[in-house]
Formats: sequence, structure tokens, C-alpha cells
Amino acid sequence: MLKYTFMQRAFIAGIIISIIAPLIGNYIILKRFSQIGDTLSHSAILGVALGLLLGINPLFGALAVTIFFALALERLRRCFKGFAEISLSIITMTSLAFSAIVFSRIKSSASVMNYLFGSIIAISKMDLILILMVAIPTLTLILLFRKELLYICFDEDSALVSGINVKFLNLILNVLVALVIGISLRIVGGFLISALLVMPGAVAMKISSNFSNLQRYSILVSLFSVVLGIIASFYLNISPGGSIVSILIFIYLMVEVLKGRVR
Amino acid sequence: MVELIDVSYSYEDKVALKDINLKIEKGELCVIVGPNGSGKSTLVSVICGIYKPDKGVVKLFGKEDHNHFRKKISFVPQKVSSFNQLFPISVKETVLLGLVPQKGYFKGFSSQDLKKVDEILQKLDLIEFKEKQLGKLSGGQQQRVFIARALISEPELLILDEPTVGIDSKSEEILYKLLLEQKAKNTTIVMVTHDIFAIKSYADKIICMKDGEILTICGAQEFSVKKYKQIYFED
Repeated sequence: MLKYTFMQRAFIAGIIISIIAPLIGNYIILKRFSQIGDTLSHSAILGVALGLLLGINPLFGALAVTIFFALALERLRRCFKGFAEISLSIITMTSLAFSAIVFSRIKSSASVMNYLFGSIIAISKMDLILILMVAIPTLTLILLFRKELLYICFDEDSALVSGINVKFLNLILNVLVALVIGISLRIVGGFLISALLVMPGAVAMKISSNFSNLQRYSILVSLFSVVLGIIASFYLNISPGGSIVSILIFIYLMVEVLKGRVR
Repeated sequence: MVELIDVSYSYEDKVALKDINLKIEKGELCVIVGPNGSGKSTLVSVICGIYKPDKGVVKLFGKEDHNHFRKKISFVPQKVSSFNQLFPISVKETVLLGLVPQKGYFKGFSSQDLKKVDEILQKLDLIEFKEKQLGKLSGGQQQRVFIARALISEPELLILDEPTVGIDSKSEEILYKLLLEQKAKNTTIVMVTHDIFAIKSYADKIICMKDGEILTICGAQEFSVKKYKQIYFED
């Protein structure tokens, strides 16, 4: 399996994404803002559509459009203070409406499917370079702002009172989610990327009593699911997005059952 | 230390604070009292900078621009009731958050910081719960953890919003002992409370509120429990 270049690329990209996605996903779970993953993944699909229409690398399109909507989201959220989900719905619907229009102008549907459900054979050398170029600063930012992000997730008011720049950090968090979604499109696909952001953390929350363990366990769960999902995708000829998320759901159910027995 | 000049604040069309004028000196323990809905928590939120006043001026440390002084302020919110018990955070991690503003971006916690955590947890009789998940502690213990988080940064201005609501007598006793210790260190303390005993025993200044306005500002000597109860139960 590893003799194929496309599989080597799939594994490298998969491992990078499986480390970064839960690291940032955990913050949005703790902020009770998990839906942002779903919303921005729709924006990423619009970016892909625009990329395909304009003949540029769809990953560039996805990254650009997702970051744009991540910034717009923060602005909208302030307009609907206390009703954040309205801003999410507006961005989701806007992205879907424009995607529907742009997709109707694109002839090839095969490449579109790759971006919706992921593909292991579609990752080009250029994609891998782009994923690495985005992943390194993303990981650096997550590590640099680790404690501040935890503070605003735990108690935004107290963080604000003691001088933490909450507005800036919320913006950074949105942009980081956008970046992770942008680079994960190829492997997991736009429809399922939010599962990779949320599911590892959901599993880890069941067995973690502190934040450090939450981060550790969610990475382990994510890494295991992505690697196994890519292998399943290769041997069973199924979409990697589907296999990865199915494994995540299976792990979640297993943990629930085992925890129930322990209780 | 804290000065409000003609401060007003409204939630949409409901006036929550009306022309508030007050001054709290350095080292004072100031208690804000009043019936539910009188604007106590809103007043604290305005002092803290969580809400920006619609009108008037809030001066902290003698300045209108408080951004440079924020690291010297600690806030204990009414958290026990609203805090999500499933949040995966340990007691140690919670207390360390109090040091985040002082550390600044890009810096991790040092062994000195961890030592500080041990010291403060020891003081609050919480050291045995250091590695425990915060949500697994009792309400009183959780409130003590929040107080530990506020005190670890050795603030010059400590603001507490109803810190004794729903806590056991042991936690209450520890809290007041610590507040007196802080007061001895010249920390300015602003506290919203319904606890008559605390008001009479510890307060230097009592701000009595009703319907978004300050009814009286007095010292503990002049404070009349009878009058306070009248205001309370009038409605």
C-alpha cells in the first residue's frame, strides 16, 4: 500500500490533519460553538466551487472563502449578541445558496464529489505543500495561544476583566477553524470535516478530567481513526471521509457503552 | 481606586443603572447590597468593563483608560450556578488561568507558578483536590477554586459577585478570612452580597441600591439592618 505515492501523500496529509483538527476542535466544543465547523465547511465547499469555476487550485479557493466567512462570522456574532446560532445559519445559507449557483455552472461532477466526501488519490504534490504551509503556522498559533484560548472558553468574562484580548482571540479561533477546514477538505471532504473537529473531542471528553488529557486523548482518537480510515478507504474502495467518520462514531459508541458498564 | 461619574446603563429599553456616582478608595472593602434586580451585578459588570456604560465615566486606578491596569484586577463571577460541570478542567488548571494575564502571550507556566498554585490551594484547604476535575467538587469547593484563581495573581482590585451564594459555612469562613488578609495587604475589594453578617462585620463602605439607583452610601456603623430589610421586602 505504501509503495503508491498517492498513499504516502494521503498518510502524511492525514496525520497532519488528525493532529491539528482536534486541537482546535476542542476549543470550539468547550465554547459550545461546535456548529461553527459545520458552517465553515459549507463555506469551504463554496470556495471549492469557485476554485473549480475559475480554474485555480480549489484548496486555495476553500481557504480564501473560509477565512473570509470566518471573519464575517465574528462580526455577525457581535450583531446578534447572545444568539450566535443566527449568525451561523446566515453564513451556512449564504454559502449553500452561492454554492448551488456556482456548481450549476461546473460541468465535471467527479472532482466535486472528491471535495464533498474526500479522496485519497486526489491529493497532489501541490496540495500537500499547501497543507504543510498552512499546518505549520496553524499549529504554532494553537500552541502559542493555548492558555489564553482555554481561558476564554472557560470564563470569557473573567478573561476580559483581567485584560485578555477576547475579541482578538475569538477572531484567531475562527480563522484557525477556517484554516483547518480548508486543509482537511481533500481527505475528509466538506460534508464530514466538522466531524473530525468535534468527534475526537466528544470521545475524549468522556474520559478526561482535565484539559491536557482532553487534548492528548482527542489527538490519539483522531490519529487512529484517520490512519485506519485511509487504510479502509484503500482496501474497500470507499470514500475516506465516510470511513474515518464511521470509525469515529464507532469509537464514540464503544466509549459510551464501556463507561455505562463501569458506572 | 474606583470612581463612577454619572454612569447609566440600559439593556435594550430597560434602564439598569441610572446616574451612578460613587468613589471607592484604595484598600477599602466595599459591599454592594440591594434586592434582586436592583442593578448590583450590572454595576459590578460596568466597573469590571464587561459592559460599557451608555453615559458617564468609569475611572479605575485614577484613569479612564483601564487597559494597562487590567492585569491588576481579578473578578470572581457568580459562577457556581452557571459553570458547566462537565467542562474538562482540573482544579490546578483552573487556578493557573489566574496567572494567564501576567504571563502574556507565548509564555508557558513555570515551576514557580506551579508552586504558587500549591500555596494558594493549601491556604484554601483544597490541595487534596489539585488534580481533580473542577465539576466533581461541591459548590462551596468550586467557589473556593474560583477565589484561588482570583487571588493567585495578587490583584490590587478584587471584585466578587455574590461569592457566598450556595456555599457551605466552611467555605464562607475561609472566604472571609482571605478577604481580611487581602484587605490587610491594601487590596481594594468590591463585593456584591446579601450576607448581613459580612456587611456588618467587614465592610468599610456599603452601597445600597434599588431600581438601578444608589439609595445610600454609608459605613458599617450607620448601616441599619432593619432599614435594609424594609427595602428588601417592601415589594
